[in-house]
Amino acid sequence: MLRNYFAAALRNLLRHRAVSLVNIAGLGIAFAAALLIALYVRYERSYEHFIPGHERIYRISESWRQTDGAFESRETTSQKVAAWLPLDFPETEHVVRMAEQWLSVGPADHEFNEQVFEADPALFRLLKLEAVAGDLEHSLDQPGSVAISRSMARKYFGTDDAVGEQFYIERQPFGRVTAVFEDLPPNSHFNFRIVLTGVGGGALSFADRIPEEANSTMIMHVYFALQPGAKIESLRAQIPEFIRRHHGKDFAQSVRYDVLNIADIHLSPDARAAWRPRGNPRALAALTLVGALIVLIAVINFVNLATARAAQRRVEVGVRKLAGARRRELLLQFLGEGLMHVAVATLLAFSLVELMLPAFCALLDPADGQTPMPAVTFDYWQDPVLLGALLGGALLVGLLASLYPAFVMASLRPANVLKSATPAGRGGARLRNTLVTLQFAMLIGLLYATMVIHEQTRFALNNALRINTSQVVIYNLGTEPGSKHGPGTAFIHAAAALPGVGGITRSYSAPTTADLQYLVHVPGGTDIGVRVMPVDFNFFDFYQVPLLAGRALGPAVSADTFELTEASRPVNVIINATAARQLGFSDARQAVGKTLEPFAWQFDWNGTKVPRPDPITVVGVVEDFPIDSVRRAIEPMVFFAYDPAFQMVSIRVAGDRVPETMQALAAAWKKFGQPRAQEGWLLDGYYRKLYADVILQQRTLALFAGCAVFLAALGLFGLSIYTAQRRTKEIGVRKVMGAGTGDIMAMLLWASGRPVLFASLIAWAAGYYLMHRWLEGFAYRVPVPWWWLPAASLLALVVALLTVSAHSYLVARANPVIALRCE
Amino acid sequence: MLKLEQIGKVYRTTEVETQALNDVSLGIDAGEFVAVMGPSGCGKSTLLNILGLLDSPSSGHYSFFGQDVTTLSESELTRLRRDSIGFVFQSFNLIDDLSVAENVEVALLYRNLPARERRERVAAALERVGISHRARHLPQQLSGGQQQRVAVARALVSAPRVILADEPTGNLDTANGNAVMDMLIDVAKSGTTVVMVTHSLTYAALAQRTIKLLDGRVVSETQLAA
Repeated sequence: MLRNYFAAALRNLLRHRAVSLVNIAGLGIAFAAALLIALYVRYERSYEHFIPGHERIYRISESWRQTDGAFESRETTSQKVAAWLPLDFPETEHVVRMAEQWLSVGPADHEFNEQVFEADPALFRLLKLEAVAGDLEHSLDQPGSVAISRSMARKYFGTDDAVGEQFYIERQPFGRVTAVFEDLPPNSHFNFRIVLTGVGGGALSFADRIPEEANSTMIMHVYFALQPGAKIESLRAQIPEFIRRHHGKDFAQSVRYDVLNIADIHLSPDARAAWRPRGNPRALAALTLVGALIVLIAVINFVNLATARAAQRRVEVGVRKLAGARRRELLLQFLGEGLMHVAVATLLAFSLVELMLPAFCALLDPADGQTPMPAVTFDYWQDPVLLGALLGGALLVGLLASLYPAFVMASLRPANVLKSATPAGRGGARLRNTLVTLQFAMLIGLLYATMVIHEQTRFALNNALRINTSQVVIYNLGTEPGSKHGPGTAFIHAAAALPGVGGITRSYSAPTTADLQYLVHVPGGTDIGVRVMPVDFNFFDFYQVPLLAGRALGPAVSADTFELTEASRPVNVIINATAARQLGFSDARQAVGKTLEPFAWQFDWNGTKVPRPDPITVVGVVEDFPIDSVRRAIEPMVFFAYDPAFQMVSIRVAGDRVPETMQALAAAWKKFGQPRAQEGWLLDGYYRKLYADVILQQRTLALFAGCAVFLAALGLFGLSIYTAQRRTKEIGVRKVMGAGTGDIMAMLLWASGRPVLFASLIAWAAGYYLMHRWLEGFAYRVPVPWWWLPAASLLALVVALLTVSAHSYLVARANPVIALRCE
Repeated sequence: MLKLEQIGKVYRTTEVETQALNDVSLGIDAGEFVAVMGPSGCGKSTLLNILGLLDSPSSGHYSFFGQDVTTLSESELTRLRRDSIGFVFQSFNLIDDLSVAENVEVALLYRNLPARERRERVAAALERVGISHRARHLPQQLSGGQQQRVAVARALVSAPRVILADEPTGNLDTANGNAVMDMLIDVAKSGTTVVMVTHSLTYAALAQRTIKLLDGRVVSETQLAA
């Protein structure tokens, strides 16, 4: 019996190659798309799983309430928390502090700028990474020890076993390499490649010199392990008391401590001072939904085509029933056929994923120059759980897709089908039309979502920035203003003289972050929290930030330059429009000439207490521009000029000379920027990293929306073939009665396009709601015109009509006599 | 024997009620060859469907070789049909995706017979209708007459007690039609009851009895002169 079933199924598949191909290819492509998405989601959820015992390793960080009442989350906390933890929570162990800075590494003839991490000795007892050489667990026990990754060992020493090699920082001998560890995989929020202890100017070293009773804090990342048997919920429950004990009742409502398992960090909400871009759980959920929709579209195609073909198998069903086949036996036969299609489609999907995985990973690559490309793998032969889940999923989808057509065919009554040579009835046409409508609704929704996400991404990368970041290279002059490395005056002069340089400015930080915060008010007003940023006189001209009122700061006015003096002196500042508004000025011009008073003044520069400036006068108001992400509202800013604070140099490179100018800048730095190695970084790259998840959504949605369009068109094409076949007699009669080719085409095209109208009603409501919710995640959103919804419908209609028009034309042109004779 | 007593069949839709058969009573003896004639729409196919247990009467009783079938369940009817009735159709109704031998085998697939026995019976049936040399061919590779031979073989392979033929020569030329009639006569002579619907007076005359229907009623029964 099985041989008979198999023979019928296989020959039927081969005899109707076109439709079989549509079905199998459609399912295969859909499975492949869904599989790629599932593998990526699995990868995003696998962060830190490579660390043995990761389930017991946690990070503690703090959030502080801002003046608007919201908490600003950070990935860091103070060194005091690291000291308090083991005392207050004896169930913790291996409490480790980590801090990083960019330093010159290597001897003079092989020197590069690297992100160097300082850590407590217990780091590699906490994180039991794979060692390549040396005793990794105890590699940081002695001050001046260095542990490096395999790639760093090869880069600086040409060997994996670099234990014992001399390590250089800032061209000075620092210590020796004590261990080499395996490179961290991309699915980790850790990104260290060089870890050392006891670097003189590092945050940990500073922190160790701060008396316990002092108010000063150094910000760093703090991790710890929970002892076996201890429960994290118990620790978390004691945090409120921890806060009261160490911060007092007054601050208990202003600070919050977050204790996160390291495996949860990657998908936790955005926070400042992250080492690597965060994942976005909402984006993953959206992608998962898209994957499910794609599979659903393919299943709808399968069901539609299978039920349309049911009429062609009516003779077989009738004969088998006459021969005594029960409904159950026919059901199993046709279910088996459906599953055979699914099995072939699954094999096709596996092959497609193997082929496309490298390109898919490249698509996911943020290409920001720092974040590694995701290493999504498809190792089903090594992971029985994955293989089982894939096969189980394919089986489930196969059953879902095959069940209804099998029921339709098994339910055909032999008496109704064996007498007539023509297909009996409309064979489930109502369900087919419903499914096609649903398919188009999903397609229109996907097209609309793609349009919105594309525009919001473009808006975030361009318009929302409000500053001109085009071809701007940032150089870091050093972290110690007034240090022997100097503010880089010679380098700046040399750079300015290069023909490919269009402009130069200086600032404390790049326009991507402003970590200095103060509370200020106007006399008689309330305090607002402001971010403070020292900038050069031409900063706003360079970044094309318009002046709304007043004037810019300049060298001609003495008070326009902040100076360190023993006595208090006036200083002029510029504020942004948001600061003016929050200080109580409805018009920016009203703020000009007003004075600011800080809530408290505690400012020391390199250990020297600075007297409070008096007065602090607002001389100008500039247009807002976002510091950091457009997900956050623009914050009030105060700008002033202080030459020694200018660590960052922004250099605009002319459009047609980028490679040559970059090389010339590198040469100028090598000549004048000694002794630190330096590699300028493009500001655009920073924003690409900042919006990596949005860019990812844009790319992946565009890819998978295109896949959905293709599948919908494929299914529509197959269905149109059957519709035309079923209506052969009708078309023949109409042509004999005088219908022209155009009339027949219009009839067939209308049948294909009509579902779009009904689908639009569903898609517009769902699409508008979902995309409105997505846009709420951004403080600054692209305006979405109302006509994008009908535009998406129109696009779907065009796809539908183009898909069936060629075949409809051929059918409409056929000789009606042939059609009627066949009937 | 097949015994119909006051059989009526009404088809109802939301708008129309059609009386396909009205008070039809007749008996067909075992091994008898009966032809059923009448104009289109007179109820011939309905009668055949009821005789073949494909449809149930709206009224009356149907006794199939002594067993009242009007109260049987669907599975019981299926079993009875499988074991006792063979069908031959005007449009052959062969399965295009199966070979000649596989088409004939379909009639035995649902009887739990060993594969070997199925093959032997299929071979014998093909031999009987003279088509065994085409056992591996597909239906679309055969002529109309050859396809109908295969259909007859499929009807015979299960050794049924009754063969119901619905215009078996309707799509055939004279020569092939004659050949099919010869096979049916031969089958009837071997003891199988044959009921044949036909429009052809010539072929009806080959039967032992001709029943004429009009508007759902039996209007005449003509016995072939011995």
